Amino acid sequence: MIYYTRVFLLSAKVQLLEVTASLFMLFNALLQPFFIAVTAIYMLRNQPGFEPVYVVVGAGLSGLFAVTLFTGSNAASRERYQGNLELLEASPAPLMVIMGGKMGANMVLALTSMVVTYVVGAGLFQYPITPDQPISFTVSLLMALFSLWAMGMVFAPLSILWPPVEQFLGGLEYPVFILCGFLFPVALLPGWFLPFSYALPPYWAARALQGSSLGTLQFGDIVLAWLILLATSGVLLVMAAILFRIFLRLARRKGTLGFV
Amino acid sequence: MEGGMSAIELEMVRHVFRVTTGTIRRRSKEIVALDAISLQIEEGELFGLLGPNGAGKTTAVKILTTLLIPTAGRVTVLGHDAVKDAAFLRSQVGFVLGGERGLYYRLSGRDNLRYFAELYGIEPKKIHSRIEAMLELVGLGDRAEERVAGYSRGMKQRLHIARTLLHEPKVLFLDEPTLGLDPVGARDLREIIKRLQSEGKTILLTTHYMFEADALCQRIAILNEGRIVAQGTPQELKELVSDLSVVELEVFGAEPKHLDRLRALDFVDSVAIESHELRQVLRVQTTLGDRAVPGLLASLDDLDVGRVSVREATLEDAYVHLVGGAE
Repeated sequence: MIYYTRVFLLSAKVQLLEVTASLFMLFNALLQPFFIAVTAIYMLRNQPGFEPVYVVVGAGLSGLFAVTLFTGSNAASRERYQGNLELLEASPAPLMVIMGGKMGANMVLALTSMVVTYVVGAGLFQYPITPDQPISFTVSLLMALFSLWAMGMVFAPLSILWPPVEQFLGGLEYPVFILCGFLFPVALLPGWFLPFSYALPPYWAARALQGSSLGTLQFGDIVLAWLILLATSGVLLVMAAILFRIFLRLARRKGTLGFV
Repeated sequence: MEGGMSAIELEMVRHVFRVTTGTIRRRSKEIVALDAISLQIEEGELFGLLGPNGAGKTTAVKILTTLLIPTAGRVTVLGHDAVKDAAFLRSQVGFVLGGERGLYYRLSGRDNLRYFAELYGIEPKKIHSRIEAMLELVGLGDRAEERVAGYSRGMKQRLHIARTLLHEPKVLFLDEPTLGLDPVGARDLREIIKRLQSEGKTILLTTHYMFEADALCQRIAILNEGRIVAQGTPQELKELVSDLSVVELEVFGAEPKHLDRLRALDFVDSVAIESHELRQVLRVQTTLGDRAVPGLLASLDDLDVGRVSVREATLEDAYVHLVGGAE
């Protein structure tokens, strides 16, 4: 266990050093949420019932999800491109633990998107951005990060076998923003969309974060969202473990661990 | 490892890659990278695997390092099956795949080593001393704090060697480790390889350089188009061409038709060409020795021919003889 923890933490450190030098990732974590927050505030601020906290949290979530999607789906491709995927797989450390550490570092980077959107709302537009239930909000944020990390762990093994998968997964970015109610309540969507929303962990992350920041949800409802996040994250991690196992074996048969 | 067992054994190993092309009309074809090869490498031996590009050398190394599962055949390293016991073997073997990739460029050399030391589960209290020892071995102690991005190719290659030795592997796989290095860097690396062998490591070395294989390896296998075409000590391989001499002709403007003309001569065994800007050197293997020269010159009467020399065949000539000038 200590060995796995050390591998996880050092992999996270290595990834943090690598990813903070990537302009594309910095765009996803810093600039994209900035533009989304500014645009959404301009669009919505004269609407009745406008809640700046809702926009700030939603725009922050969009940055969190964008980083999860892109870093998760190119996790293996990036290592492969650098010639490191074979070295990592050939080491005694399980690749899932290594990738887990790297995705953990990506979530730390992603968290900066929340800071950016807070600065936009509180600093640039001078809105009072204070969560109604600070403790619930903090727990919700941690749960959201854990859940998105688990989601990234499902994306990570896909590119071990199919390097172009990141291009296809990139197309999920805006549909998820909409389906999960990051910037507009899902109640605005046709009813038949809702089952898709409920099946996505980011929907529950958005619900818990927005409910605790606006005070529109009872504590019991927030706890329910946390439990669903925990349960779906557990399912995602089991799926990730299975995918890593199957895809690594297939990649070793096809020879796709090296440069392809 | 059980007594009397070889350190590395390949038994009828075959690997086929399936390559697909096209987007709408998908076409796939099979490429046989290894075609039923068998070989045994003894404990403490430095064994060379030679062959032209695409011969299957890297495929063999990847199978032996558990990165590739062979299509058929059996592979054992230190008596353990490389497919079934992959998890165990990973802590017992080390490998260097040639080239500059395979390092974290934004980290320092020392941080790269520290990361891999952790991945290989080296005891935390021993990590520092192991890293220092490896940096000293490869002569990177004074540059260890610098980012790898600023390292020369030779330094990166030495860092690869340090990385692969961190966990004290019993068996080493070195895939073209001196490729692209300057002569001094390559010589230093060969000295390190010799030293590792003298310490009792079993080493499989793949290389393009015959003199390197001749100088370092106790035994050599020559691989061509996925098959082992010859195997033995460097001396045994040289003896395969002991009845041949090599006529070297310096020419200007040689074309494929000239090579075909030479190959058509009944006293010519093989012809290889080496280009040097404006001139080329034709290496003609023949059983006639210097008596072949007039016939060769007559076949090249429309070319400017410069220096002509005749010499005994070397290991490189044995290699050309066996792979048919495939490079």
